[in-house]
Amino acid sequence: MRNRLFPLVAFAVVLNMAGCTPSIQNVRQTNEVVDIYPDYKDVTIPVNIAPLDFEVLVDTDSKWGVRVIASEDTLDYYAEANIFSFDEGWWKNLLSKNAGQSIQFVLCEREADGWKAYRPFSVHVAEEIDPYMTYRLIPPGYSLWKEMGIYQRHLESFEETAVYKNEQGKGNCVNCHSFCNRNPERMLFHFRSELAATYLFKDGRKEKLDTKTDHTLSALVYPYWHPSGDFVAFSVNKTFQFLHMKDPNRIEVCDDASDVVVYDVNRREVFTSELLNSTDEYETFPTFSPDGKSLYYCSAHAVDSMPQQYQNVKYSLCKISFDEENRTFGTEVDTIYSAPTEGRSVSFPRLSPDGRFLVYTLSDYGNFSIWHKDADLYMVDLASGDIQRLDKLNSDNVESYHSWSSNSRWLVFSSRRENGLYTQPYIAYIDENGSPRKPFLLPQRNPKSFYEAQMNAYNIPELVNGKIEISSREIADFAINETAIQVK
Amino acid sequence: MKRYGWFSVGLQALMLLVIVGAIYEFQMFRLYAWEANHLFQFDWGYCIDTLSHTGGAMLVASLLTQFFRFPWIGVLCVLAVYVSIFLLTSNIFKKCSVSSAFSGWLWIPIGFLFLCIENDYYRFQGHVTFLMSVVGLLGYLSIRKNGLMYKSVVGVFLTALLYHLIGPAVWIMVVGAFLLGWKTDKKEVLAGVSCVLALVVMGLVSVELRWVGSMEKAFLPALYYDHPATYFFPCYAWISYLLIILTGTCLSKWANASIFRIKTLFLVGGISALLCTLYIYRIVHSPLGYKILKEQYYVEHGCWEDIVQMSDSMTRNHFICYLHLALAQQGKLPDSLPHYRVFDESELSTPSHVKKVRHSLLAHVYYHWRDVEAASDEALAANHATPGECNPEQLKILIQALLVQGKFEMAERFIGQLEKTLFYRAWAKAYRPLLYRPDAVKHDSLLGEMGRSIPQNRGNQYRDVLKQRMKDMLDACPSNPILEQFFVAYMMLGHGG
Repeated sequence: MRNRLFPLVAFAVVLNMAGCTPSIQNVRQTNEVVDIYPDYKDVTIPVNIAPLDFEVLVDTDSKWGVRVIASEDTLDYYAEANIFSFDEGWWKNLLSKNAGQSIQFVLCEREADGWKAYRPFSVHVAEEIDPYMTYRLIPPGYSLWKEMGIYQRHLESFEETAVYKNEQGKGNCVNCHSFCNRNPERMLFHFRSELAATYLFKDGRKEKLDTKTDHTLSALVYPYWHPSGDFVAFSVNKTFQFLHMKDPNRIEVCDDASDVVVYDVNRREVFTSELLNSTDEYETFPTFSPDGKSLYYCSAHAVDSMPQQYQNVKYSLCKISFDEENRTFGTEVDTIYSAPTEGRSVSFPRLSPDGRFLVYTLSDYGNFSIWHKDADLYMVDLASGDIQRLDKLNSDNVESYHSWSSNSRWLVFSSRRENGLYTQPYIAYIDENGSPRKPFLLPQRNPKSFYEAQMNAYNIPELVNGKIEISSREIADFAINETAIQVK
Repeated sequence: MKRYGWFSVGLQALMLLVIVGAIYEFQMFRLYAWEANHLFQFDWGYCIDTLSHTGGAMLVASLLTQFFRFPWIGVLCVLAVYVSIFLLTSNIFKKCSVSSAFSGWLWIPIGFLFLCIENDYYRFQGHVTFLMSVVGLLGYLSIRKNGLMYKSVVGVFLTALLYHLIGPAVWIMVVGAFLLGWKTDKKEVLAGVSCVLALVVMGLVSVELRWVGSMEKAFLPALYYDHPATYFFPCYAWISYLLIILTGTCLSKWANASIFRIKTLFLVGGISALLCTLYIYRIVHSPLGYKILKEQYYVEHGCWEDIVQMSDSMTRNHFICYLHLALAQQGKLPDSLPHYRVFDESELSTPSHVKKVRHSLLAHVYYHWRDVEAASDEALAANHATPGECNPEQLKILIQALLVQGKFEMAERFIGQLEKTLFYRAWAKAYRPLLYRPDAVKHDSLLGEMGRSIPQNRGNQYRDVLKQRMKDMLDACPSNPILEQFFVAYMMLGHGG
C-alpha cells in the first residue's frame, strides 16, 4: 500500500510545486500607485476583524503578489485572478501579534525578470470590536418589498446568518431592530403589514406587543433602550412619503406629526411628558444617555401644510433629564444643536458608551436622511462642547445611520458612496481624543463580485457583543402563533 | 411495437401534433412574459449561488428559457421535455414489467403540465423539475445490485441529492419508487420507505436550517416559490402520473392478456387525455389570464383594433395600460373616447400578487411619456419584485433613465448585470461608453430627448397629481407627441377640470 501511495504523493507534490508562483524576488521599487477594491489603504482595523480580502483594479493578466511586512514577520501572498484571499487562521495570528502597530502591504506585479513593487500602504491594528454586526438587508425601493430579513454577521469571520427572514413569516416587513447595550439577549424589532407587532426579547422572555394605543399617534417606532433594560424610548409618527419630479434626492419621507414616548418594559405602559408630545413640535429619534439620566431627541417646529413645506422642517438636537425611579422627565429642555440658528437638520443622535462623544447625522432638512445626498456625520465632544464634521468618514453621497461599539472606539455607519443607491456598512476608528481614522468597508470574500451582486442595502447596522441565539424559525412560529399583548 | 403496429404510432403522432400546435399557439401570447422574468447570467458566482440553494437545478431551466425569445426553440424545448417524460416512463414501465399499454395514458399528466398556462418561465421550470424527478426514478430503478441495504442507501442518497436540486417535486420519484417497488418485490417496499423517510428528514432539516422558508414549501410540490427555484407544479399532473403508475402496477397482468385489451387501454387513455384536458382547461386555466396574455401579444405587435375589441371592464387596469402603450406606439387615439377611461395612477389597485405587474406597466407608460424620474422609480420597484432581480425589460428602462439623470454609478451596476446575460450583452455594452460622459448622453438621440423632457424648475415638485405632472412635462418639452396625446385624451375624458 505504501509503495503505491508514495509515487502518487510525490507526483502530487511535484505537480503542486510546478504550479507555484515564484517567490517575490528581484523587486524593482517604484512610487506608482495601484487602485484596490475595497480601498483598504491606510485604514485602521480592529484586532479581531476578518481578513481584508481585496482585488487589484488593473485590467491585465499579470500575476500579483503582496509582501506583508509586520513587526516580526514578512510574508509573501499571491493573488488568484487579481484577488487576494487571506487565510483566516494566518490573518488572525498576524493581527494578534501586531495589535497596536501597523502592518505594511507592498503590492508587487510580476515582470519578465522579477517584480515591480508599488507604493506600499499601511493598515493599523487597533482595539477589538464587538464580534457581531446586525443589519437588515432590504432592496432600496420605496413602496414594494418582497424578501427582506435581519441578519447577523460575525465580524471575525465571513459568516452571515439570518436572524429572521420574512419569507418564514408571512412576507411581512421587519424593521427597527434594536439592542440594549449591544446585548443579544435584549433586543426588539417590529413587524409591519402581516403579523404586525413589536417583538421584544429580554433575558429569555419573548413578548409580542400591540403598541398602538388610544393616546398615541401610531404604533411605537424608532426604539432606543434605556441602559437598565427596563425602558425603551420610542417615537410615534404619522409618516408619509412622496417622490420628487426632479431632485437628486429621489424620495422624501416626512412626518406630519410625531412625539417621543417611553415604554415601561415591566409594566407594559407607555408614558411621556408634555415637553415631548407637543402639537407645535415634531419630536422624534429618542436616545438615552449611557447613564440613563438623560434623553436626547430631535425636535422641529411644526409647519402649517405638508408636504408643501417639507423643506422648512429642520430638526434641532435636544436633551431632557429622565428619572427612571419615578418615571418622570425634567422640566427644561436643553438644545445641543439649534436648527433655526444653524440652518440644518439633525437625525440619529447616538452617544458613545463612555458618554464622551455624540455622533449625529446632519442634512439640509427633514429627518429621513438616508435619502439625502447632503447627509453627513458630525460629532460633539460632550466634555468640551466642540462640534466637528467627520470629514474622514463623509463622502459626496449619503452617510447616515451609525452605531457605537461597546468600547467607544468603533463606529459603524451606513454609506451610499459607491453608487448612491445601495447602502453599505463602513467601520471607522475614533480614538480617545475623538479623532477619526479612515473607515473601511465590511470585509467579504471576493469583495468586488460580492458587492456588485448584492442587490440589497445594509440598513441599520448595529454592533452586538454576542451571537443572537434564538432561531429564525422560533421567531416565525412565535409571531404566527402568539396573540399580541395590548400595551397601555 | 410489433404488437401495436401503426395504430399506436398513429395515435401517438396525432397527440404529438396536437401538442406541438397547441404549444405554438399559446407560446405566441406568452412570450411577452419571458422578458419580464430574471435571466440566466453567465457568471460563476451566480451559478454557484443558485446551485447552493434548495431547488438550484432550476439553473437549467433558466439557461433554456432565455432562448424562448425564438418561438420555435421554446416549442422544441417544451416538446423535448414532454417526449422525454413519455419515453423515460415507458422505460420505467418496461423495467417493472408494467404493461406498455399504460404508456398511452401518459398524455394525461403531460396534458396537465401543458395546461399550466401561467408565466412561461415558471411553467418551464416546473416541467424541468418533473423531468428530473422522473430521471431520478429511472435511476433508482436501474440500480443493478439486488441487496436491500445497498438499494436503500443509494435511494436515500439519491433522494437527498434530488431534494436539494429540485425541492419537494422529488415526491414523484419517492412515491413512484415505493409503488413500483411494491410491484416488483414486496421487500423492495422497504427501500421505498427509506426514500420517503429521507425526503421527510431533508424537508425538516431544510426548514430548520432556513434553506426553505416554511413547512409548506418544504413538502408541498405545488407552487414552489423560494428563490431561486420558483415553479408551477400542477397537482393534476403529478397526481395523475402517480395514479397511472399505480393503475399500471395493479392491472398489468390483465392488460397483457390480449392485444384487444391493450388497444382498448391505449384508446381509453388517449380519449381520457383529450377529455380531461378540455374539462380541466376550463377550471385550471383562467379565461381572464388568457385574455391578458392575448392583450400583451396584441400590444407587442401594435394590433390596437384587436385590443379595442377585447375591451373588458373587469381587466380595465391592465387593459387600459396596454391600450395606452399600443396607442403610443401607433400614435393614435381611441376613436370612441367615452368607452375608455384614461387611468389615473391613484386608481390603479391591483392585488398584492400583481404589484410587480403594476410597477412594470407604470414603468413602460412613464418611459413612453419620457418621465425619466418616474420611469426609473417604477422600473427599480418592478425589478425588485422579480425573483432573482435581473428583469431585462425593466433594467433597460432603468439604465436609460439613470444615464439621463446622471446617476452613472447606479447605471454602471445594472449595465454590468445585463452584460452577464446572453441576449442583452450587446445592448448593455453599447451603453457602457456613455458612462460618466454627460455630454455624450445629451447628444444621444434617444437619451437626449429624454433629458429634454425633464422640467428644469425645482421647488415643491412632487408627483401626486397626474395632470399637473403631464402639464409640467409638456411645458418643458412641448414636442413630446406621445405625452401630448395622452394629455389631450385625459382632458377630453372629463379630467380637464
